[in-house]
Amino acid sequence: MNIRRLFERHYPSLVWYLHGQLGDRDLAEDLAQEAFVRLIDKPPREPDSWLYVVAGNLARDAQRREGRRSRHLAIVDAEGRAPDAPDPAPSAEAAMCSAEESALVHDTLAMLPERDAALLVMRADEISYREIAAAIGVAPASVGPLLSRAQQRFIRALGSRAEQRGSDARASG
Amino acid sequence: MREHPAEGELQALLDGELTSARALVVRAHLVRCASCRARTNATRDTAAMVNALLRRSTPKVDSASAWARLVVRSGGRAAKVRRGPAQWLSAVGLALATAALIVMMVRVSRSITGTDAFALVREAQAHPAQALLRDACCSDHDGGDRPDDGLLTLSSVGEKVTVVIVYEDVDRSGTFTHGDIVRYVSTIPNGTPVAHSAR
Ligand SMILES: [Zn+2]
Repeated sequence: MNIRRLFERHYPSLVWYLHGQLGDRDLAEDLAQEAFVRLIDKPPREPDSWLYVVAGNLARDAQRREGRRSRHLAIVDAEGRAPDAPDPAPSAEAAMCSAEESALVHDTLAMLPERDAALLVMRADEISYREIAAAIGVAPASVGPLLSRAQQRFIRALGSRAEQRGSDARASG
Repeated sequence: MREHPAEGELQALLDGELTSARALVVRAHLVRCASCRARTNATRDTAAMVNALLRRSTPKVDSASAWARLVVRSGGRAAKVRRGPAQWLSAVGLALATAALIVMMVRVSRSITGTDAFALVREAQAHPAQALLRDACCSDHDGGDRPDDGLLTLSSVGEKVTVVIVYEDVDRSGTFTHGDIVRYVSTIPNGTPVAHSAR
């Protein structure tokens, strides 16, 4: 196992995933480091997805320890309750500049249920369905449907978040 | 296939994650069904956009520093687990990690003790190819009428900062040694002239 290569490939995504879960960049880096230390202590068979599993567990432990409420908002908790934004995808993407975009994407990810966020980040990190399935504890055949739904939720949440930012900006400016 | 495939199945098809038999069935359906072809395109666009947004927004991480931190945190094991035909390469890698680590130690320590500073210099001396050490000893910087103030700068290859250590050459060895008093440690971006004033 080439730790350095695993580190180069997954560390930024892990930090980002944890940052989304915890809302604290320093803590996110700390826990991502801890995940790698554990990987070195006891190398798993499938390190790519294993790192996400451990990172998720560490995040939950940290939240419990610090009595922090999970920052998941209810906006996209149930699809039915999501505010209906009429297909925001093309306009939302076109309207954003990069720094603003990163912040928006980050906020959106933090709003999603933990499993959705994990799925999306792992997929963007090009982890296979089989490994994703093992990481989140579902059958491999379920990954496609779950991923597809997570993507829809992400787009909807992104749209409503962008809209909210827009109206916040108008209200303050 | 009588029923239209669900979005999740189209997603799996696009990701190359359907079994070959199932992929064949779904593809056969797509040939005949225009609405599912349109859905497949929409699914592809959505996935591409989400992945692009996520990848673009992944924060920039100073991976050399993060790696050096991991090397420290794992007690050096992160750099040692690497095996294989290019083993000589890992020696170079370890040395480079050490170079990054020298700077990291300074970055992460809020207050550096004389012992830390000395360890830092020892680390640099042990890896002369990775660190550039300049020890100017001694002159009278503090107005104590004694030329016992040393100024040591330490840069690591490929790093953007230089560590500056101002010390008092207590043992009059003419160089920075363990018994000397560290007056001041700081870092400066490379290329910035070092002010020759101790405090
Ligand atoms: Zn169809």
